[in-house]
Amino acid sequence: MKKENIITLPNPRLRQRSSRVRVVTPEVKNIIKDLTTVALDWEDSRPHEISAAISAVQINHLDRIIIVRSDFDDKAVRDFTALINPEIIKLEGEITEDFEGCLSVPDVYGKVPRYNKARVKAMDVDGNEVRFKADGFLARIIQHEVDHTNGIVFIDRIRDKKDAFYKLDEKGELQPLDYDKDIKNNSILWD
Amino acid sequence: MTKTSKTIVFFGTDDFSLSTLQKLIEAGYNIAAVVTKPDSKSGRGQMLQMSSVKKLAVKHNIPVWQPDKVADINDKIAKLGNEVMGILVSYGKIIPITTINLFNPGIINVHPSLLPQYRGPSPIESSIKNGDPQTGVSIMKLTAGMDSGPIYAQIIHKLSGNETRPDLYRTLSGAGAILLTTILPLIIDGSISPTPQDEDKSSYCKLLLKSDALIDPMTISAKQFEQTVRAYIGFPKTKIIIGKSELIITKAHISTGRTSPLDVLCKDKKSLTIDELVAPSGKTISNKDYINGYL
Ligand SMILES: [Zn+2]
Repeated sequence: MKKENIITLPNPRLRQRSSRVRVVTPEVKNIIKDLTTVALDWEDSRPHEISAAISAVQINHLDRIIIVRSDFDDKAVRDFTALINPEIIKLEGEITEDFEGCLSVPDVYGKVPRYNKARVKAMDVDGNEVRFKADGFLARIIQHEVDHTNGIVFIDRIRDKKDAFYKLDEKGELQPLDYDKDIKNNSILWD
Repeated sequence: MTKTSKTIVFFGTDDFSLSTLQKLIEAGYNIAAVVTKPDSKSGRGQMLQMSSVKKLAVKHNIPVWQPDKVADINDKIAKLGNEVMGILVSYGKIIPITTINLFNPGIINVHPSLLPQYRGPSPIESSIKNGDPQTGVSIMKLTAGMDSGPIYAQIIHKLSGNETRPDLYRTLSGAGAILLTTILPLIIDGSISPTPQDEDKSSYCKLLLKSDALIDPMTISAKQFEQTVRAYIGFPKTKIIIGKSELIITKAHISTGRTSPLDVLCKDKKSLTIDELVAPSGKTISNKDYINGYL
């Protein structure tokens, strides 16, 4: 699988809820493998960005499966952890704003408010229940991916915020977007 | 979800910072900008002088920022995204907290002393001047206080008692560059966290001025005088008045007897014998040539 298999807005599937996984079948394991290949293939084509996580809906499977980069600060560490049926049991700490991008929303970055702590429950690839506390950027990543499994894209969280939208220029710098011109009535993003 | 990858903004002006910038470039780090002091005017024609740090950045096509006020670049830093880390080596300006806060996990600083000893602007000179048995380099996280941030790593360098200021600048600059690039991946992936400095053991060194050059030998021992000569070579220099002339001492040793005017009596009744000096003519000459030519 290649980065071209990633579905992007305005594909309506990105706004649909994914279904729970009952059993970890070989097909589920295949999806996990494909997610990893696709995320890395995408990253290899982007000089200034890292694939931190991706959800199954983004490669057109409406299943509640996400993978999260083991070390999302280091491009050299290329392995991911899979979480099946990820659920946020509790959000805590404080709300902070930071930049997020999405494989399914090319070039647009947003300053998104999120809680900085989350308690997470999921199933691992062996079908065991896992529970953990996520902090900081990891908490943000999980909130972003669980949103995907519920048909929510990060831009939906900042829809009316005029100064929250940015684009990544060719030098890897974030430049503010003109909300009224580029965002507000952009049919690719909202329809 | 995607995020922008770690980029570095490098703050540095003096040659001391050159080897670190060089190593970071060699290691392939994405350096978004080099922040350096505005070009200084120097020489007779008041030509604008570009620092070696700026030359290196320009050679590698790295944008160079030279703000008069550091806070003026806050907007540009914010635009680099949330994955930008600062590295500061001998920049020469105070970084306001509003700027420090834009970096994640902060601004990492290379300081040439074994902190908390010798916080401040002249640690290298101070270690030689005080005749310390050892000094070193600390990698710390910049905070609002003067060199008081928590420490990631230190390297010790034994002093021989013969080194001069330029020698030790060169040695510690190289050692600092290697130490920083060795631990930087660990700082970035969060696998090491810094340890607070012991405030009770902290000491400070002062900003050296031209006026620190002139020494009254009757106020210090011959040993302190000799250490000062080695510590102040280049700047602020060590000056002494002999007869009616002001001489700059560039080399000296401790002696007991006095056989020439260039054997200077010190407070502890020992002498400092001047081996090499800059004469009033501006020429560097040996003890023997000075005695033959001027006295
Ligand atoms: Zn996404």
